[in-house]
Amino acid sequence: MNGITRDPNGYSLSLNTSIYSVGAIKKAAYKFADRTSVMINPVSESAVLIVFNFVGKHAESNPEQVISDFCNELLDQDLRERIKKETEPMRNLILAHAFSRTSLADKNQP
Amino acid sequence: MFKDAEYFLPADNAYALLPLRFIRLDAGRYVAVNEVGEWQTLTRPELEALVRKELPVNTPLYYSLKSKHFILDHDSVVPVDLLALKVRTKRHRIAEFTSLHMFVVTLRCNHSCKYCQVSRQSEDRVAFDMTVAMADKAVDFTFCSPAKAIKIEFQGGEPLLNFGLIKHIVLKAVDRNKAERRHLAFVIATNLSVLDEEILGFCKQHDILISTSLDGPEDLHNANRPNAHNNSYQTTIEGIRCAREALGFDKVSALMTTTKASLARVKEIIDEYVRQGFRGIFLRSLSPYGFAIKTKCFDEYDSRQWLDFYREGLDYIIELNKCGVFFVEHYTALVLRKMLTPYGTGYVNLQSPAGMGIAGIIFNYNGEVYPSDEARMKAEMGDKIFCMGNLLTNSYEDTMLSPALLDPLRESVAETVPMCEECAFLPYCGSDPDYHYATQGDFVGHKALSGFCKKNMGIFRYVILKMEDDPEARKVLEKWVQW
Amino acid sequence: MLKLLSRTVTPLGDITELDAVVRRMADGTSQQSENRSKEYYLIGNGSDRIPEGYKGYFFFETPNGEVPVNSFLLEPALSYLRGGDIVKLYPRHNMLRTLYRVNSLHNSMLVTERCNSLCLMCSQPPRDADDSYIIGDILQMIPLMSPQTKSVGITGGEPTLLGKDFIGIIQCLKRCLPSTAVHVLSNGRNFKDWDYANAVAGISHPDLMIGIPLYSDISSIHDYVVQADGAFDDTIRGIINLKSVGVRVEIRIVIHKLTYERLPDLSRFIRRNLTFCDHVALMGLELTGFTRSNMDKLWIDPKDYQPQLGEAVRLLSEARMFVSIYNHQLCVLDPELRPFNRRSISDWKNEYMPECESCVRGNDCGGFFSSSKLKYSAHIKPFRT
Repeated sequence: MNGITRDPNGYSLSLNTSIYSVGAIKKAAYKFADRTSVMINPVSESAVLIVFNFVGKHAESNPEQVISDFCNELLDQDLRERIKKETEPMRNLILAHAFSRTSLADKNQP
Repeated sequence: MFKDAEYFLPADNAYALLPLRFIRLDAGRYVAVNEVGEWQTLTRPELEALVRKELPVNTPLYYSLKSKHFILDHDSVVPVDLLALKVRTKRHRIAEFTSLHMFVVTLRCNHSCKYCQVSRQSEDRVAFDMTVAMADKAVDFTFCSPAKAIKIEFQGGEPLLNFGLIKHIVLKAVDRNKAERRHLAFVIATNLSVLDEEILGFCKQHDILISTSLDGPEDLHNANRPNAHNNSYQTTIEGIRCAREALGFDKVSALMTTTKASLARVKEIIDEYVRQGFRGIFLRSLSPYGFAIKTKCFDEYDSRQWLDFYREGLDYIIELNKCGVFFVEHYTALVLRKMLTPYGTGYVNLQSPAGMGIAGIIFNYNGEVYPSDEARMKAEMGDKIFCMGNLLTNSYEDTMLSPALLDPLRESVAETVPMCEECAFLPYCGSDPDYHYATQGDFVGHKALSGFCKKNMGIFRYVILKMEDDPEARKVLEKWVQW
Repeated sequence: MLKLLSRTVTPLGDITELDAVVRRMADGTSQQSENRSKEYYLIGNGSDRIPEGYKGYFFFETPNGEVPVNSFLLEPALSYLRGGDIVKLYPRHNMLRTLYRVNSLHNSMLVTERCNSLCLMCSQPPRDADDSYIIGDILQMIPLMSPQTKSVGITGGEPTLLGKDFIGIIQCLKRCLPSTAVHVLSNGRNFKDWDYANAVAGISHPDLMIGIPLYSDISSIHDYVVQADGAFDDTIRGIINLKSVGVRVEIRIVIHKLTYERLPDLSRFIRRNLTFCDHVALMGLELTGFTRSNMDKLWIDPKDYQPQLGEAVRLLSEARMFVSIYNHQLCVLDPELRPFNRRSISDWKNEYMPECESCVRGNDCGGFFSSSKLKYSAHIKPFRT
């Protein structure tokens, strides 16, 4: 698989943080805690090194599959960030409407 | 004189996203879910196009997303009002407040069920029975709830061993309700071994429902629920028959507890329920109070096995329905209510904020007040972290505002915790602080390691895929929904 | 089809009633009412009796000898008139319009022909003229109606264009006919003004329902069908406002070529977003008014949309919403839909086709609109059992 190196520490993957935000990487790592333990090491201004460890209860017969799934999850997290950024104000508006003390119908929407 | 359809289309192809979450469903599909649980399956390229504003407009997928309030275009802004209404409707139960009030009238019991954490094989009433003073306070406490519908459930031990107190509580509550005019319902959760004419007569008079345990066919039931003196299964079946005869066929319900021994036998368990005339079953998950206390983490093998058990059970039940037998899996029916209707449910374990205290509350035999049955089980095992107060010494306000309740509620709100806050299934799911406290030691838990999470996500995926891929199954499932 | 408008009203003898006026009928069955000086007496054929003291008299055959003042000859097509019925007489124009029939289950008051929509299948094409005189007629008519009247409809055009006069009419109905159910047909758009919805609620009418059409879950399709930009949003807002103040709302869906495909989607939309509505009426197309000019866009044999109709009824009734099917024939409906069918077509325009002659279920079946003679389902088949 491209970009993955294997060494005594585990598997590592280099990521460009101008493409994958650190937030997205952390969220993906958190989600995969049942399958692998993940270390995120900054390498430069725009790169991090992800180290995947498969020991103990994570001893995995197919680490490449887990890492591939992880990369797909990264793409999903990226999409989620975009969605959240765009829809956050609207979500707040809807929740505010929903829980306001005045009846919705009083508002006489434009 | 008449304008054609094109005239009424929005001025441009621009659209905005309404709040949505998404998750992978299977190899080829994702599901997007909006703030109130409306869902749409799509491929990943379609999802990308949707988010990048490149989805072709006025196609069937576009119309579906627009109708289900995933997108907003220049043509119509009323989705915002409708979503606000729906958000409010989904959470209406919270305003209703506590409905289920459980009274542990005694810890004494005559069975030794393997999975029970609480009962005592004892004759000592002083040590293990709720007192009249506590019961009176508990009834007052119950009517402090603003709920229009109140359910009083008697538990134990074996509650019928303290039938005298049950009578006292029912009469007091009925009397109090003359002024209160709530919708009042009573249930006794019993193993049916000490039923007699007097008890049945009283239940009939006050329309009290009976809930009993039936774990499956005879050998399975008896292995789980031994009784020193007779065949527990026979007692249960005979008890069901008597209770039905005295109270009415539909006044008796049964619950199963799932143990490792149950996992390979779901069809037999379902057949047993069908044979006994029940119109549905609740395929309960494995209680965490066995292995988890020892290992302090969820057992993934157990989780996978349970999901196999559930899927096999659900498929079998759907086939029964397709052959004309109306039979419901109750947990699925609750989930379907969240998926297909604008309403939430009152089921305590699928709510955010958690249902503990807000949806249900339990008065222990010693006067202590707990927000859930699991919480009082924890206390019986030595940890009183969830104890909200005592009926004899604390007021309603002090008890309901106790940090023992407010802390787990606040900390575990699904919309604010990792993984849950971005999960597509959030509108269907809930927080379960007592489960996570029991298994991981905190109210939130790491959801990647949570059996509660794995189970529910497995169920949601399976149900959605079933509805998408099997139109006949979908019709069956839609009939289960209680609107 | 009953003739409700006659242009051959012939004066006999002296006429003092010259201006157009609303009058109630009386006949041999009527009580001797103190109001006879304002009523017209119906003289049956072959009858000699001409009771005194009435404002005027309607004959169906030219009488011999002297006639009282304000006697008119009516054409045979109006022989359905009975005591208690109410008409508007236009003496100068030899015209008579029947406004109310005491024996009918389908009385309805048209309050204006103006409308702010232009539905492709409108059965009462709008006219943009000042017809506010109608309000006066209606306010005169209501006190003359029988208090036993089970229900009355309010239609148009768009009734809410009357503004506060609409409120006034409902108030008058409450005052004079407290036991009569009122069913208003409105596009609901003006109820987006919450104060207006609240004013209707403020009347506290004991049995009022507003029937509001919704043709699609997609705004641009609904707007196209009603030919009005922004109509969908206005209508939804109107429905929400009315329900928020406790007024009963019925959603009406006319099923035709432009609406049948998304009927299941619309049903899912309704049960998700508008579950609080009191009734849903799924309606067959009436081939009158604008429908005739739009047949190519609208006509579909009802047999061909049974799957969608069945799905809609299933979805809505599973959600415990009250659903009815109107304006369909039993033989065209799938069997499991027949229990939802209602006899809905107003009696004066209700007919059966030649194929129906030998059918044994004619009484259960709603039959057809008179206008359906133009075109109807190719699958009409009489029931033999």
